[in-house]
Parts: sequence; C-alpha cells; structure tokens
Amino acid sequence: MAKPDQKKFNVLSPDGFPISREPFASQKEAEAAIPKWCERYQEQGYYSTADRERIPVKELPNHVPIVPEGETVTQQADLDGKFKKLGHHLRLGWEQQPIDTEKNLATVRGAVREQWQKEREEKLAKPPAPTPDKTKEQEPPEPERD
Amino acid sequence: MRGRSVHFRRVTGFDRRVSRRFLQKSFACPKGEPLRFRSGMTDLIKLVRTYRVTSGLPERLGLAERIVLLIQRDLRFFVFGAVRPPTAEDIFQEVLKAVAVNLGKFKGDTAKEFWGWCYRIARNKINDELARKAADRLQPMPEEELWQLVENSVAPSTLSAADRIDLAHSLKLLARFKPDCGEFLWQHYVFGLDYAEIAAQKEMSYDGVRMKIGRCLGEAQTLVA
Repeated sequence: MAKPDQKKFNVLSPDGFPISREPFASQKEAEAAIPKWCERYQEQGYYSTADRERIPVKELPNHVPIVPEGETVTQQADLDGKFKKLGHHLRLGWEQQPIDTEKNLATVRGAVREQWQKEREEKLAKPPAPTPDKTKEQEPPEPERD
Repeated sequence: MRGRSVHFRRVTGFDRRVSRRFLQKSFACPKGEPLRFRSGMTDLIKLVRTYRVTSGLPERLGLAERIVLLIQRDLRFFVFGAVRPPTAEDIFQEVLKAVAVNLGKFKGDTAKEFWGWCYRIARNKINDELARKAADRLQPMPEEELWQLVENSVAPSTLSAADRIDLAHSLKLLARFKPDCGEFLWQHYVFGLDYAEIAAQKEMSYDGVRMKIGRCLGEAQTLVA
C-alpha cells in the first residue's frame, strides 16, 4: 500500500491525457499498466491522435510517458486536470442538494405494481401449453412375422 | 404509527431501519466521486440479479426500492444536468418508472452494464422530451446555479483564493462551449463518465469519444488563448 507522502505517477496518452482515472501508486504499477492500455488498440492496429496522426500499435508504448503526478506535459492535460477538479466540486455540491426519496420510491412502487399486474394478466391469458394426448389410441403392434 | 410501519414492512419487504443501515454502508466512502464508483455499488448488481429471478410482488417492491435508493442521486444529476426544472423533474420520474418496469428485462451481469443501461434509458427519455418540444438542444444548468454547487461543495473557508479563481475560470470555459462539445465535456468531467461509458450511451466507438473530447479540449485552449 502506498504511503500518504509517496509520489504517485500518471501515464500520459500521446494526446497528453492520463490513461487512468486515478494516478498509479508507483512507477512499477504505471509501467505495468502500459501494455494493458496498448491492448485496446491491438485490433485496430493504430492509435489516432486528436490531430488525426496515426501511431502504429507497436510503437505506441514509446509515446506514453510516465510523469509524476502534478507534472503535466501539455496545456490540454492541464485543462483536463482543471475540469476534473471542477467536476469533483460540482458533484460534491450536488450531494448537498435535497432529494425527495419518498416521491421517488412512490413512483417506483407504482411502476413495479403495474408491471407485476401486467405480467400476471399475460400469464393468465396465455393458453396452457399442450399436454401429450393420453387418450390417443396407441397403434397396435405390428404382427409378428413367421 | 408503529402498526403502519409493520404493515409497510410486511407489504413491501422494506425495513426502514435496515434501509438506513444499508445506505450508511453504501455511501461510506469518499465524497465527490460519482456514486457508481462507491463500494456499496457492488450490492447493486446483486439486487438487480435477485430482482430478475423474483416473481412475488412484496419481494419485488422491496428490491426495487433498495435499487432506487442507490441510483436516484446519480440519475437525477444526469437528467438535471441536461434539462431545466420543472421539466427535468417530470423526466426524472419517467426515467425511474422506465427503470422499474424494465428491471426484469435487464440482461447484463455487472454494475457498470447496469449503469450504462440506466443512462441509456435516461438519455432516451431526455431525447423524447426534446423532440416533443421540437427544441433540438439540451438545456444545461446555468452558470450561476453551477457556481452555487461549487460554493456548496465544501466549507467556504477550505476553498483557497487560487482554487476559486481556477474553478471559476474552468466553469466559464465549460459554459462557453457549443452544445455539442459542452455535452461531451459535461458527461466526462462533471458527470464522471469514462470514454467507454459515453461511447456505449451515444453508440459511438471508444476511440471516437476519446478523439472528440481531445478536440474539444483543443478548442478550449483556443478560448483560453
């Protein structure tokens, strides 16, 4: 487990964005994540950058630098970090908003009841599956040949 | 009152005391992360799977209620991020109904698949409403309301002046985007969907979404410049 003061690492895509939501706890972990990430592009055969440059999948590991958390290579990655921070605060703010749980539960109860009733009616309306006709006369066995 | 509570439990299979413990357990994790990443979400798919094989009404009601308690806040954010009240509240109730009615038909096996399914339902309901109103664009939250959320996110004293400037700047930038880019950036950064989740919801490829967001950030740079 990483110590709180231990440096964390990001792996940046060729476009300069971290490839994972959270930074990696060590350089070793970051290195291990690269082949797995590159696998995503195996089938396609290349990685296409935002500028539409194609990087063959074999060369892809050379285009994904590992950088300490907080060090960004591009302005886009900087923006990425700022938007992530904004998103975090907006979600925190949203969690403070009141929510009418009783109303939501009442809606769901109504919908579940309605659906259950509908399924029940469909089941009752369905004709019973045909059962093998026991009354049908069995064919007489073929007479034995002499 | 007590009798009513017993009746409620007997009829719905839903114990308020149990539900409180259930919620405490489900949400006892870092705040500010999208709810679907929280530890209690592992219970979600178990509840959904159980619902699928349950035929009794009281059991179904109890399970559906527990599922809704786990998804309501995130789904509400999804809808309210795209449409303005009071329409948003009506759409949200429609989304809950659609989720409840179709719970038994959900085919997936993971919480992620289930969330994707819920978002698709929400997305379709939002689109239906926009089409009905013949206004082919989303109605995102106004900047002032978003700033209010930021203000409410932490105690005012914990937000440094530098943080405030940064956040206000990012918010202004987000609000200046055209609806197309704005929606992608909102879903990725604010709502917290990853590329794969956005791709599934919009029926695009993972790479298509990744490149689109990259280009939108490129556009943001020009706005900054």
